[in-house]
Amino acid sequence: MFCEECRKNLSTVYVIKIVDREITKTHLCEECAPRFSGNIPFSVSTLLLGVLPMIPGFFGGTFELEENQEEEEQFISGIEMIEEETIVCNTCGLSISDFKEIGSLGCGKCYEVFSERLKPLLRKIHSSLEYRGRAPKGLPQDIKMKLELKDLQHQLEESITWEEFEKAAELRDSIKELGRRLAERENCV
Amino acid sequence: MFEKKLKGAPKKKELQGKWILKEGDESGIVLSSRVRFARNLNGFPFPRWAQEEDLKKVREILNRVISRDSSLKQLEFYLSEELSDLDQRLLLEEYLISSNFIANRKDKGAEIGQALLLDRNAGFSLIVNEEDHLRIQWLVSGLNPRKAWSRLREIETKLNSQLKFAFSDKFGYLSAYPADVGTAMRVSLVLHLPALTLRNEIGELLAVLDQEGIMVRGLFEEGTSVLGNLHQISNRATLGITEEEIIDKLIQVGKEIIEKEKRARKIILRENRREITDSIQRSIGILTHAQLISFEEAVELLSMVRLGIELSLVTRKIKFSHLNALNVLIQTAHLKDYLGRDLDEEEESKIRADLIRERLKV
Repeated sequence: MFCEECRKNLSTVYVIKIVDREITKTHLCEECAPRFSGNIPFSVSTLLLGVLPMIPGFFGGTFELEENQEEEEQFISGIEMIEEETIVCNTCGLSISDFKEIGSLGCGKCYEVFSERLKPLLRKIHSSLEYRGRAPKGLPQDIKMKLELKDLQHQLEESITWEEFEKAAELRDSIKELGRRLAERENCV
Repeated sequence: MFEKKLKGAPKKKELQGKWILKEGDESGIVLSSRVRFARNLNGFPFPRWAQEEDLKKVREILNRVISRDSSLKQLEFYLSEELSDLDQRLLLEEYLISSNFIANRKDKGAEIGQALLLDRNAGFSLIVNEEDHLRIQWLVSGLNPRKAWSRLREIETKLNSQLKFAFSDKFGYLSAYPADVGTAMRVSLVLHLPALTLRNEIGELLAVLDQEGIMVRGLFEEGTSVLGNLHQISNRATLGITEEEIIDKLIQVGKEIIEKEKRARKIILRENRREITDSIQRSIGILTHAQLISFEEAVELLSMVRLGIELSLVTRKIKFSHLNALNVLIQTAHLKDYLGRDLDEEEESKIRADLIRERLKV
């Protein structure tokens, strides 16, 4: 489609705005995008990720997320163009250009700091962004519960794919129960 | 001179890595299974980005942790500066360290805080400050990744009881390279696939594997060609997949490839029995008579001998484990170690040919 600003070039990027829970999506070309983003005082990619959990059905299964994958990738590639290369990890001092040069990250905190930049790369390598697997000793209880919840959600998706609906119903109940316990804990804190 | 020398049995002709001499499931086609974990200590920069001071601190911490554990402290522990170039090459040829370990030392000198904990016989190594603070791996013969995994888990749990690993609930175990993040677990199998190669089916198979998220490379590569029909396959994804699933996937893919290879062998036996017997017998002829032989030629011919044993076209009693050992013993560092001195290329070819003739004689 054409850029909604100049209406001349093809749009390659889109920007999402949330005003009073109203979500608007504007498709832009590479020329107009930098001008448009000047009005946005915070990282637009964080904003996008803030939107994802609101998509109906997200909690029950991540199918909707999959459908948005292509758009999100396009969006993040847009960010790369808009932002300047100045993000630096405040723990180890590695910048994104250092990462591009040496190919490895500087410390564990880099994963948080460069999270948005890393996501397209991680998705390309692993075809996933959700950690599943063993947890080290000594993790706080709520993190253990979150990991368990993610695993149950994955099992639910699997059982739906294989049409094991009885198992799916059981998993759904376990997810609800665990979700409730997790919410209680978080409210207590 | 270096303070320590790798511990070796008096008879240097014998292979130190005894695990290579054992046989496991499907040993005819699967030479080895390897499981590797990457772990980093919480609060320290990753090795490539760290300063010397931090690297040394990490190494000291790990040294302390190892010396506190009753079974780990029994193993051999070496600081990288204590190992000679030859020692490192020996370990590389036994698959216990990677070429990065050696390259790091060459690039930055011995002060980069690398260290090694080894059980050379068992096929275990713990590498400090290579790409990650810790890389621990276990190698076993045959198709037995589950065995390697359970041994590795035991060690990892011991280390975890004294160390806090860099971990996030979003990304899992945090590794220096984004390609390892998540479980930070890599499972590899080394497969011998001569029939698929002879029938020109290997290219297609490798392309399918790539699509399925399996990485493939030659165990020994020369330019773009794979030597000795030995292919190493491993999981690409480490994020979004559990340890159990990675192991299951590699076993399942491994078994499928084994079936394909066996089918190709049957077809060859049916359609080209004379030709394949000819190739195999010629290979034995060269190996048992050559006076000079390069590593590349030897590995190719040994591959045919291995195939011959599997197809019952070779009457000599040669065990797969002995062929596995020969693949290691005929490499440069092992030949130098065997003779106890440096060798030029021609001498190396001579010693290699002598060793092979001796090992393959009836």
